[in-house]
Amino acid sequence: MSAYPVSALKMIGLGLALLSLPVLTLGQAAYRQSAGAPLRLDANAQLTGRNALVPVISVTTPIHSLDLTDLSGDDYFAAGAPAFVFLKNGGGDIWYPFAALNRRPLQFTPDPDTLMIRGKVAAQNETVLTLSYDFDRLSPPAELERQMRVRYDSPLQIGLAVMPDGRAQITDIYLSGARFDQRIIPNVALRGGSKMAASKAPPT
Amino acid sequence: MFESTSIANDNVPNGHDGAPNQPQISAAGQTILRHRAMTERPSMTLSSQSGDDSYAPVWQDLTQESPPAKRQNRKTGFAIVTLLWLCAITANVWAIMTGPAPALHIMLATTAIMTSLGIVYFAARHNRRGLQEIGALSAVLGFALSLYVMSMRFGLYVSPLSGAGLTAAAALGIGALGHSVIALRLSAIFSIVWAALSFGLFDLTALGLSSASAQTFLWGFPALWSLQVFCAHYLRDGAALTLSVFAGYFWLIGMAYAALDTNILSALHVTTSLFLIGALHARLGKVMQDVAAPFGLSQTNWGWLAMMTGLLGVQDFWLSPLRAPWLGLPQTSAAQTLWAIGAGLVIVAILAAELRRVKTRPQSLTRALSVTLLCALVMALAVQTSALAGALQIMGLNPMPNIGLILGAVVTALSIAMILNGFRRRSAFMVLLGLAGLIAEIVIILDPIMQSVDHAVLYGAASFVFALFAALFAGADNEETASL
Repeated sequence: MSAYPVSALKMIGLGLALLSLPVLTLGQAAYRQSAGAPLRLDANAQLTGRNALVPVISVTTPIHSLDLTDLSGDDYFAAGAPAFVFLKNGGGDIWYPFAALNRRPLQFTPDPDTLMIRGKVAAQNETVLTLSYDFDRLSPPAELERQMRVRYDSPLQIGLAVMPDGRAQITDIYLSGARFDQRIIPNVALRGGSKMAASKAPPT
Repeated sequence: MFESTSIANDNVPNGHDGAPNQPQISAAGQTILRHRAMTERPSMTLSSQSGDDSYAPVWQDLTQESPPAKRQNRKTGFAIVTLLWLCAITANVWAIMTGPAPALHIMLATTAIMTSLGIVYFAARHNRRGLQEIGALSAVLGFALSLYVMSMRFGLYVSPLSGAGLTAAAALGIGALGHSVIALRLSAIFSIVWAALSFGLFDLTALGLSSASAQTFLWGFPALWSLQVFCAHYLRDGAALTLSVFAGYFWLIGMAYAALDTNILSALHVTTSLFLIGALHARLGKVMQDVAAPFGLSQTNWGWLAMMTGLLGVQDFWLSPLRAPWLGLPQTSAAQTLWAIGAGLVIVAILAAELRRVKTRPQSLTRALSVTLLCALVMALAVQTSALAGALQIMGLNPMPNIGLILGAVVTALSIAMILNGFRRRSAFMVLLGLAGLIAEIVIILDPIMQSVDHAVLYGAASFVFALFAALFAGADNEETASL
């Protein structure tokens, strides 16, 4: 065996390094979920990887495939390069894309009615741009997985938190109106507040 | 300053100035000792020997013999960490079965990692080898569990591909810093899984093989692999080294298959690459044997296996080039140039290894150059295939299958040499390798030599000549070794 003893300092450093991966990943996701602007999109979701260790949902939204003739901005995108899609609120939960750029704009300040999402170019077929996003895949909680297997053709929506730099993180999944929380730190204040409001509401 | 050091150096237990049994230390050695005594962190303490008539302080090594209080503290620490570790394992089993809140679940997984590392540290200090390995194993499992919890409980998808790569890296860290061979072996196994998933062997590409993970794999695997080999050698673990070597060849073959599949390289270039890398591996194994490094023989044998596999492939091309997979050379000139540069670097490395053996074995310079030249010739057969074939045809010689027959003779001679060497060294594995090479050669060569007597004569004569060369080299080396 080795002539050098196991060092306590090195073991502590190793432990911190091993801890940093889950802690930083979860911390970053939790920060994005709490600080990002809320956005809700219609989605198609498919359960894939049933043979894998964890169940996987593959999510596709209308902004995964864009017709550039309908949008302002750039016309040519390189595969594998980042792309920035701009969305406008059309009232309520309706958001529609109005522009796509192949580089991040120097001056863009998101407002409640305008958002920018960062994606990655999968392919461009003439005027049709296919993109992938950070929220393409997720592991569903057991209850959502069960519901998806039962109601595989039910309408589905995803709630996103979008950061000013365009990175998005899934916060909720809505299947047939039922909400499945995907937050790292559950939004207990909101849930409690709504319950209190409901209990104090005058009878109708 | 030196004066005080010399006084300290005089305080040798039971020693006096000018004692006849004191070892002679050179002036340079004394300078180094003085420098170390003054600059290094003191791992020893000055104490006095009780019972001696004269004051005779000695250097007492703390690592060997600790004061009772300190030893007691360590024992208490060990007991507490063991208890915490057992609690963490129990809690994780409970969490897997019941599924508590996600935050609690990830906390339990990370606690298992930290307490396992504590066990590794204390077990190493107390020389409990088995417990140290179990601790390292549970640390690796704890890390894998934390990734699983992140996926299952927090919805943050960690693909099997990324999971295998990350766990391989974590296990390597635990193995290297915790001196654990189990963790190191696990690292090699997870590397193989990572490579297998990346090459899509298990048909799981839909689970997350994006271009980003492919890019990470391209640079990450060689980096991880080289560290694994270094650590396996450092920890003197043959199993980890063998697994790492297997992982390395698996990666090479996978990359070669990908290059073949995308028409970047031809099958001939792929087999020639395998021959050259195997030859380099075998020669490096020989250097390791010369300097009495551990596992040198096994490295030589694995390298020989890869080299012979590649050489049999090259031979098959020259015997029947119009058969699959040899048909056509579908590569760009840029890819061919890059391949030639890479192959040339391997040849240079073989030359360097052979020149090193001139000192370490020692072998003759002629032998060093001959081995390198033989490898370079096989490379030239792939680089200038058409030109060589054309030149031989102008000379009235039919390159196909004649070159194939000559290469077959080389394979035969090398296989016979391997069998004899195996008997000499009493290694069944070497004999088996030699027999495997011989049988494979017979299977390949049987058809061409049955077609024509000329082929049989050429193959037989060439085999005889190469066997003679091998015997001559062996004899010359034995004489040189004996004359030392």
